Amino acid sequence: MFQKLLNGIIGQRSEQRHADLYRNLIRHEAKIGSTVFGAVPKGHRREFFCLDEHTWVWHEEWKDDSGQLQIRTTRYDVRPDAILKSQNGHYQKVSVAEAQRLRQAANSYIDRVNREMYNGLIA
Amino acid sequence: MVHKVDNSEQLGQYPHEVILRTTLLRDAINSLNNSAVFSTAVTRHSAASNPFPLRPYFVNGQSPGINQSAETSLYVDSNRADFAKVQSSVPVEVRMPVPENKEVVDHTANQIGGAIGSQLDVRDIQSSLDQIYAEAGQ
Repeated sequence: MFQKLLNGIIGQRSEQRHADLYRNLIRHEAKIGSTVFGAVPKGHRREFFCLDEHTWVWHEEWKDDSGQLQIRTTRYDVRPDAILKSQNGHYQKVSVAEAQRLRQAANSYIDRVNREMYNGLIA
Repeated sequence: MVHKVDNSEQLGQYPHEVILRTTLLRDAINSLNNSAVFSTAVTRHSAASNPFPLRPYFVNGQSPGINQSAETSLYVDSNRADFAKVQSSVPVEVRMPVPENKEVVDHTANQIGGAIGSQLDVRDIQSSLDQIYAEAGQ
């Protein structure tokens, strides 16, 4: 019984550790991703990262002139025949020009994280 | 293009999460790069399957008279960089899609020639192709 409990706790801790590690990898990637578009404006917090194999996220926070915190999260859903952009629950199909810019950003992101975090494992 | 890592000794050095994550990233970038958004007409296929009207184009301005089948036709594919690797011994007719939609034309041009302005003429695409083939030693 005790052994079973102990195994359960160890198992949970192990799962938690794995989940934490995975989340930390994404957090670190998001920091690198924030620089893909050039310098982050002063007072802004930006993250750009790959959420899953079909989703890219661009998150930006800043204070407007009245000191109000503004938050904008843009999610790109990559589908075989189109790329959809979601902002505040509103979906729209992205233009070819925007899709090209997303692709450029995503490729830069992959290059950077591959070099700086994953020791070339991806390529 | 990102390629799969198949060196098991190398993979064994990394935590499972890193392998999971890098695999996911590889799939994600391939999925994005392969999205049909970036394609106009793809590789070798019959003229009948091309949604756009086709306009014959001959490599380096060579005249017609090349006897070739639809299978040897090369279509401009904005998503593939290897369309210039066709064997020089294979007679090739390059056909350009000439869509009505200007946005698609702009997109095609940008994919082929880089920073081509929005005031695009199909002849610009052809000269870009000429250049690509010349550089590829065709």
